[in-house]
Amino acid sequence: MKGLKLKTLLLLTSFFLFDLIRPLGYSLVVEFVFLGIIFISLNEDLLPALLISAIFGLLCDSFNPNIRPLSSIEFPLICLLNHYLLSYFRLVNKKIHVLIVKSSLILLALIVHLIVNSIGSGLILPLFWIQFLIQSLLIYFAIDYLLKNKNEKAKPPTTI
Amino acid sequence: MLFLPFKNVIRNLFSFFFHQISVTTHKAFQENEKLKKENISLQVKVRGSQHLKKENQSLRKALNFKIDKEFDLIGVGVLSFSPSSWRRSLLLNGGKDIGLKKGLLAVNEKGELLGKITDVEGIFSHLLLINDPNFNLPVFIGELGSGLLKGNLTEAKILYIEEGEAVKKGDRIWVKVDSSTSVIEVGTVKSIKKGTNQLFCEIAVKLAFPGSFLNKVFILK
Repeated sequence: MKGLKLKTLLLLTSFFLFDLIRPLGYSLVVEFVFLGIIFISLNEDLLPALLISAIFGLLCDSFNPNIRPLSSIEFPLICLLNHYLLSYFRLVNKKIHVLIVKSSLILLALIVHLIVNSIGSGLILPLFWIQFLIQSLLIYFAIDYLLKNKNEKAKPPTTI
Repeated sequence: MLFLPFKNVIRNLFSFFFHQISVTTHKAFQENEKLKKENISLQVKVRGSQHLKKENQSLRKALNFKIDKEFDLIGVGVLSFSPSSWRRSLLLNGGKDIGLKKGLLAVNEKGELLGKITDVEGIFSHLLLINDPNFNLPVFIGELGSGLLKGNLTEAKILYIEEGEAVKKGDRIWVKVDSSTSVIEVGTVKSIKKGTNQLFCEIAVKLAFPGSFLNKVFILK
């Protein structure tokens, strides 16, 4: 559990650094930390996920002075919502396909983030929204695939 | 039988040659390793010098701009971008220590407006880019017009332009700095539109600054 938390913290920290450095400038409109928050809300226990999302929400807000601190409220709420909905769908119907539920929850989280920030900035930019959604979804699935693949490789082989 | 008296001499000669060959091979191997390391360090230096060459070119452009337009410029490095995709701001590697103040304008090496300083701390400051939603600045359009420039993430627009004002597509947008008689380029008029029942026109701006990756900005004092 401890190792898992450290790994998650390191992952989120590297995502945060990626957001700060922005190697491709503003042509890539993805928020890596937010994708990380979605990832941990769907794959980690609630308490550490909530704690980490609150910490990184605060960190993101500290780098945006003179504006409303949206991230420190939004990130834990998204984490809570995702965790609750995932548990609910698993409880209601055990046969339901996890991948479909998770994909829907990722899309929902991205749309909520989009709405919150659009209201916050007072801008309606459909092209930007589409760009944000497509880029975020593609990168999320790439991250998910890479991390799951790595975890499976790291598992010790089962003995009969 | 003929060689028997010289047996020891021949053996010594052989051992001497073998020793010489092994020493030479060992030396050649060591030299090879040394050269490999030297090669790597030279490659690193070449890359470093290429970066310095680029920086030198950019600074030369800025210097030409400074001399041409008689501006007092301060070059500042960019530390980081805003982590939010709904903001366009930079953290700069300099604050009160190098004499930066709130409200100062920043340009790139070509003299195109990038944004303005919104927060100044001891050793760092925040620069709000021209396309940030919170950015606003009074600008001039063409020869006679003026309005309020406001960022909208992707580009920028100018608000509060009356219908009668002589503004047309392609007009130059510029700002004046108090410390100089020269002007700073902002961009050009992309389109002009006016909705029904609206008092003012809205101008879409094609920014001169392309909005790509930045690693150094110049502050106008």
